Amino acid sequence: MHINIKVGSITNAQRGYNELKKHAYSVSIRKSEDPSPKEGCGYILRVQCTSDEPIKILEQNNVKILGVEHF
Amino acid sequence: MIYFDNGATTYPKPRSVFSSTVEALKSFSFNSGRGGYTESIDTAGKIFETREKIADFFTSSPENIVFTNNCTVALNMAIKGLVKPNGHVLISSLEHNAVARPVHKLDSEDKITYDIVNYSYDSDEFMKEFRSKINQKTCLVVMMHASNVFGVAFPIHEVGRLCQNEGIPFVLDAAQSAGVLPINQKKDGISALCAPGHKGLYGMMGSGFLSLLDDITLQTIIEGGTGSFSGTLDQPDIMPDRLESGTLNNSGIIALGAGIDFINSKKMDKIYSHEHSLINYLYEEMKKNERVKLYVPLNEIAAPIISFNLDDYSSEKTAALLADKGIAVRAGLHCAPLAHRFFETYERGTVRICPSVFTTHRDCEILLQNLQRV
Repeated sequence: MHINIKVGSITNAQRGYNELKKHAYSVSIRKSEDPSPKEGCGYILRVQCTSDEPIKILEQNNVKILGVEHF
Repeated sequence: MIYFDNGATTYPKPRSVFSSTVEALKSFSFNSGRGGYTESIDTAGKIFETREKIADFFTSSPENIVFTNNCTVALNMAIKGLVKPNGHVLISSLEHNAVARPVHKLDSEDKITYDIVNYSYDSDEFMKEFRSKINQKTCLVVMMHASNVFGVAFPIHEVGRLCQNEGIPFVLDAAQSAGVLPINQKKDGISALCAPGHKGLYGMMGSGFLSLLDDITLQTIIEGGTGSFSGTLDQPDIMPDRLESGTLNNSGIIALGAGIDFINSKKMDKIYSHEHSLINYLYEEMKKNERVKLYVPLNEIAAPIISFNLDDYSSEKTAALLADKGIAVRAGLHCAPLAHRFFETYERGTVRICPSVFTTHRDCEILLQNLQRV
């Protein structure tokens, strides 16, 4: 299972990536493939996980989250 | 060539900076924050590494590091982003034109007023005058850490603390002190730290940065493409995108990271000791030369810079004579007319000597010999 966490800017994505790597998550930075015109361009963090723990980690580290998709 | 113009830009650069620049041109010349392909994202990772290195070095946060072309652009962004309409600004009597000119322009357009706080060897006296010039409309303090002409430094820790207590943002021009003198942005209460990448940090020309504290928001003076939230015409709020529009100078940024690595590997205090030992040597020898006029007591020189003049020659004439001998120095007003007015060298300017980590004792001997022979 994985989740896509929308984080917007590349810098935000890098911050989030680094935080999740510290917690040993398998994570990759990708371009958002279906942004709405309102959202515009942006990046997501694709995280292999079975819980919402990565979201909590990002929130605790002030990484802005714009949306989450579960797969 | 014997190079003593490190106050303008450091030369040579460390080999590691040189090779990182070549590596960046080869492997990280992709637009970061735009594409979704591996090379773009890897490049973004490399850029972020430099943000982290700067943040660690100055005690800041990586997302609050904004890359600019140089310190002047960073200062313009900070000053124009923080002033309030009809506000009052304080600057020091030694400011570089990178501070003095934007402040003067804002004043001449009746957008602000400003006052100058005189430098003093006695930091208590300086702080007393500084306090006395704060008024209810004071909205910004902009100050250099160390003079690019005379090497003297301001008590920035005390200035930062006072500004914090008064709720006034403090912009620091660290052009001559970044990588040279200790700066802790959070402890020193520096709202906006502006620095070049190419002087004491040993990076490339065309690089610099602005580092903001978490609670500081700047009005933007440049808007454009950020690769984020592209669907809206509003400049994004998120940092650093808000203040970083357009394509970045990737190789400059990566080289800046390599410069910081270099300083950390050599240890900043050891570099400083080396440079100051050369300054001490030069100063003591120049003092013995009756033809040389020095302007600042040796114990007041904080950044490794000596300004002098020779006989009745204009400063440019002295510099030209030294250049004929393959010795590179800078003469004139050094883009700091305020400093020259303060130290009464405005009519003539001065010749400036500024060593780096790569300057040798032998280089200093050759300079001294040529000053004798000129």
